[in-house]
Parts: sequence; structure tokens; C-alpha cells
Amino acid sequence: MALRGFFDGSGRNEPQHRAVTLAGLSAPEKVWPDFGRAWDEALHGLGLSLWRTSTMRKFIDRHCVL
Amino acid sequence: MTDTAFYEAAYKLLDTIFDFRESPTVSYRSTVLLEDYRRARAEFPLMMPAEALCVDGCIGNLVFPTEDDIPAIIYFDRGEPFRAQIEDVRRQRRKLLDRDWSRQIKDILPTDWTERGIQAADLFAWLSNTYEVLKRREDASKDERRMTMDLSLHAFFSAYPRGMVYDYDKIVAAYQRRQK
Repeated sequence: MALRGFFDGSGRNEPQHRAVTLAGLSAPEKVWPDFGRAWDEALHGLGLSLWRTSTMRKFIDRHCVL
Repeated sequence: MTDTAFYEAAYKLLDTIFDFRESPTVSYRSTVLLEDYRRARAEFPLMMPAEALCVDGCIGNLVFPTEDDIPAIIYFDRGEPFRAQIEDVRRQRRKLLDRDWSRQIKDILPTDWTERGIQAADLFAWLSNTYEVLKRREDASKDERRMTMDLSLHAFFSAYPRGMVYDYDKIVAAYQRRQK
């Protein structure tokens, strides 16, 4: 059994950005199927099929007056 | 989805991650402050890319709960620019050191957004980046700052945390270590 880690970035090394970040989550291999089911259940409860933070934020910026 | 609904959704997802904390799950964050990075690179033209520092600070701190969990398989979003960096960093480090994280990684594989682990990583990445930027932005609203700080605190406890923020001194120190 191997450790499995998932990683994703935020920000870019470009003039308009102030920081660049890499982040992730790791767990033993056997944990991930249960994690996937729980994650899907949480998303379902929120009326979503997947989570992508930048898409959610863009939607808010376009459609909501804060 | 309103701004409040966004934060509530993020809380709910962090609660889900928290349910697996004792599995155990470990969260990683590595942020390079770009103003400091640009200053350091002006002084040291051979400075490694900012993304390589992130890789070193993040993947270089992988936690293996037991010996049975070695080696690791690492997944990146298919289009993620960090993926090229991790291959480079791993190749360089394998040449230099016998006992190093680069030798504990069996594979680095592309994946996509259907993978729940990537969705969770994306939430951590956005949150860490936003938190570090807002902390230093004078024009950030009080509400924006408070909501992001609350959510960051929640994220901090949702899995065992490993984190690194590269300011000027840490960037230079990492560069000098690499030169030895």
C-alpha cells in the first residue's frame, strides 16, 4: 500500500500575483475510496457535482453584489 | 451562490476532510511571497523558480504514517504548471542525495478534476494563497479578512498540517542550501 498525495496550485509567478502556493492532502491508499464517497455526499448536499474554488469565486464575482 | 454560501460550502467540505483526520490525513501548504522572491532573484540570478521552492517545501515534507506507506504516489492536475517543476526538482535531488524525499516517491501522475483529492487540494491551495495575500494587503476589507482567517483556522485543524511560507530570508536560505 502506498501513500497517495494530491496537489494543486494557486497563483502564478506573474506581475499581477502577490504569492504562489502549492498545497495538497495525503493519506494512506486505503482511505481514499471512503474519502471520495464522503466528499461526494457533502457536494451532493450542497447541490454541486464537483468543487473548483476558482470557478466558484468567479461565479460570485459576476453574479453577487457584496 | 453568494459569498456567504461559498464560505459555508467550504466549511462543509473542510468538515468532511476533518472526519478523516485520524486516518491519518496530512495537509501541505507552501507559499512563496513574490515580492520577496523577485528581490531575491535580482540578487541571485540563478535562483530556482518560485514553483520549485513550493515543490520542495510541500512535497519535501511528505509524512509517511508508517513504513508500509512508503513509497508515495503523487497526483497533479493535468494542466498544472507545478507538475513540470516537481519532475525537475526530483531529478536534481536524486542525483545529489541518497536519503531524500525524491527517492520515496514511486510515481508522479496526472489526474483531473473528477478526482476528489484534487478538489480538496485546490481548496487548500486557494485558501492558503488568499490568506497570505490578504494578510499583507492593506486595502482588504475587515469582513474579507475575518472570513478568510476563520476558514484558514478551520482548514488548519481539518488534517495534520505541514506548512511553509517563503519570505525573503527563507528564499535565500533555500537557494544557499541548494548551492552547497
